[in-house]
Amino acid sequence: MSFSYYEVYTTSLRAFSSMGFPYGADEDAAYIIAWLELNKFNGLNSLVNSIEVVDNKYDGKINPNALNNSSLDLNYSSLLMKGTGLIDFYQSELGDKKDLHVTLNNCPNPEYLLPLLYRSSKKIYYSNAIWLDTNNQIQFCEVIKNIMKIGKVSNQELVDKKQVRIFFSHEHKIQKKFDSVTCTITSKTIQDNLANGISPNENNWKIISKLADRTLVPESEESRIKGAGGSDDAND
Amino acid sequence: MLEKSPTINKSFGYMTLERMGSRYPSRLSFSRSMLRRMKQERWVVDRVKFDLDKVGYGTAIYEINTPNQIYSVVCFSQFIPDEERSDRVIAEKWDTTYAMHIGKISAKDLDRLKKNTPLQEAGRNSPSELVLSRGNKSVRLFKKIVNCLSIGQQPTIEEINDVGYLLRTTAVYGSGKFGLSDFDRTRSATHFDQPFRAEMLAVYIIREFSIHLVEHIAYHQNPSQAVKLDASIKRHIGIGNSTGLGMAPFIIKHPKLIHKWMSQFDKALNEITKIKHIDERKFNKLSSLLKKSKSYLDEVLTTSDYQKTKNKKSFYELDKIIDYCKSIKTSDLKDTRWNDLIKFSEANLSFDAQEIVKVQIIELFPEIADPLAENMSESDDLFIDPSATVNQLINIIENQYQWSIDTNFQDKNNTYLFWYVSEEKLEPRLGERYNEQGAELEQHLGIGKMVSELYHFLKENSAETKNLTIAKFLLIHPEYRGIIRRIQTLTNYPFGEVSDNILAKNTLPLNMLRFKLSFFGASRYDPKSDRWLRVSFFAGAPFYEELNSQNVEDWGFATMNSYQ
Repeated sequence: MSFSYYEVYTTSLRAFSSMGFPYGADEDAAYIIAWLELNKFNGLNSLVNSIEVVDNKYDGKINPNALNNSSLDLNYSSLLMKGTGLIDFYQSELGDKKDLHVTLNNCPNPEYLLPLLYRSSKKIYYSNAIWLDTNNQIQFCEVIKNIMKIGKVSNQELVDKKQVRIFFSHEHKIQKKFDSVTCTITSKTIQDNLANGISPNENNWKIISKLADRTLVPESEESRIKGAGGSDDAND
Repeated sequence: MLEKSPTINKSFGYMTLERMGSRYPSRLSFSRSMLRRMKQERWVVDRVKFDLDKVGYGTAIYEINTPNQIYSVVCFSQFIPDEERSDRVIAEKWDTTYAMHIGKISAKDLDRLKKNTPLQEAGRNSPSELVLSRGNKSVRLFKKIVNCLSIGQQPTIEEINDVGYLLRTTAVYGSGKFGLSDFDRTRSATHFDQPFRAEMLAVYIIREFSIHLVEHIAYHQNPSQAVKLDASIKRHIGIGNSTGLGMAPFIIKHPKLIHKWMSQFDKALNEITKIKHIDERKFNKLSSLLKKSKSYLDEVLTTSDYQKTKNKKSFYELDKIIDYCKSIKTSDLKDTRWNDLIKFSEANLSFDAQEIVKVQIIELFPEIADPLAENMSESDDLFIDPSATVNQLINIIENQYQWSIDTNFQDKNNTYLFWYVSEEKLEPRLGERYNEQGAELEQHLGIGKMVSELYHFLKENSAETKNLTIAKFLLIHPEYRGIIRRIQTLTNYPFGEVSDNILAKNTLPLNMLRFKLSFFGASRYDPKSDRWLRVSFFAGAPFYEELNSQNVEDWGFATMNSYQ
């Protein structure tokens, strides 16, 4: 069954709201999931697998003192909760500097960074990230001016498991060469995906929709009569 | 509830609820700009299928040929019992249902749409569909006109004016709802690069269908005597629409878009006020447009005492500006500015009457207004400015949200309402916080309350905190992320925020509905409660077969005399 981006976003938004994400954080997390789903990174599946660690456990706080050097221990806390705050922080830290290197340790679901880096390319000229996938293959992505490339690299610096290294710059410096590019995301590919619609896994969609439904106010006779204004003279 | 007079702070410009609820359609409205585009680009509408039985049930398809693309509006008509006819979202059956599809409709697509479109929210659409809609018959006018036509008679224009439409849409969905094409896709891949333009085209075609439907039934009721609707009265038939609370959350959730619409209107007026003298021909036309507006107000019917009072007041107040215009000698026009008329209106007339004067002045300047009407779209993206400081944020709040700071949210009357979505077909509703269940599930629409809470929290913090960047502050307090992003973004979008507390007990949601409907181009406001109303679209507009460069311009504030 085909869904629109709008539907995936709004259903995710209501799901995050139901899981206790505050206003703003729910929008960012929904954007992450909808963007991944649109671009065929199985965002809804990732969310389903993350429910246990985020449902009614929202904690987006980060101690600024923990950010004083270039690495941060996320302690397996989800980027759905902390990702946008971090990217904003690094954007402000980049400021007038030429570039900025950051390492996130104990970072689950590094793919959640992809939508955030893509969005931040409106403000940050160049960024890249490198991490180990579940098969211990080095994954690399770089973003410049709304074009994101994702692929594999080898013979590069070591990346530990559950570690993500991010680089931000006001200039485009060749950092690493792709062995192979597995995915390129541009405004055109996004348009193509919108044209085709989104076909999430049916079971995942049911799970997320059920979460989203927790934001709905249960029906009552009073609500039915008063809530939308009453006075229905439909056969006039 | 309508009779309550909301306490409105008038000091915060255009976006108070009272002013929002005083707006009228203008040249910039989407129905107007859509029809202009239709004329300019010579879109051709063909009825390619009209497979209805004798009583009007079946399928019809209209193809709209634009320069680069064909679009199809498919119409399904079915029987429903009177007791199942409802204007509300919670309805499950409708007399007619519609889908607008990109391209010609194949047999496979028609089969798919036949199964899904009549189900509306419970059905599925594809990214090839732009609009999903439904409409119910106005029982009294529909039957009356069928009966008249079937015996070779015409209804009177007064009978048409009593209702204003044959079919009344109860929802017109687009922009990604229920599987429809996302607006980002629609904007880049179709002719419909302006908000709600596709929806307006669909509504225009539904109006067309309503005429064909009534004439078809009348013919089959009495083939030997039946006649078609006379052109001299047909144009007074618009397409009805019932609108409820869903429009209010839209305004809060799309502040940049709302700013765009308002700023384009404001730009049009600003350009006009720069003109150093008044052209006599335009001046005379304004006088006739103001008189036409008076006739419209005199003729338009509503069951709402609230609306009757507003209309009556505007009707009489327009005499003031008409008299003021009469007092200006032709020889003095070269020393008079349009701004003088606007200033007179602002000093002497109610908001409703002021708006009529403004939209009718804008009417005189297509060269200014029409290009602005082709640029009404705006991204919804909101951004954090992470390098700004907390102190700077406090300054923004003090400069732009004084209305919020001044509101006492400890007073229960100011947090009395909560906006929510019901589990019953996701209908948007409004509850009473201290009397009803569900407030813990309210939508994030109480912007004033959120701003106030943030402001007082920030003020109580230490100087050290106030010197933090927003990026650092949000690391510690991510719960304020949404409201800070909104405040920072809207610094450059002054029309984006409703400058009133919409949780207050005396809030009149109708005001927000009318605001949005005015930009759509709706007329004949007929409130049915404080939370929903009926309106008409395209009342007075030419049908596509008669569309020409003259009548595409002249149909605003249509009256019963407009067609002589």
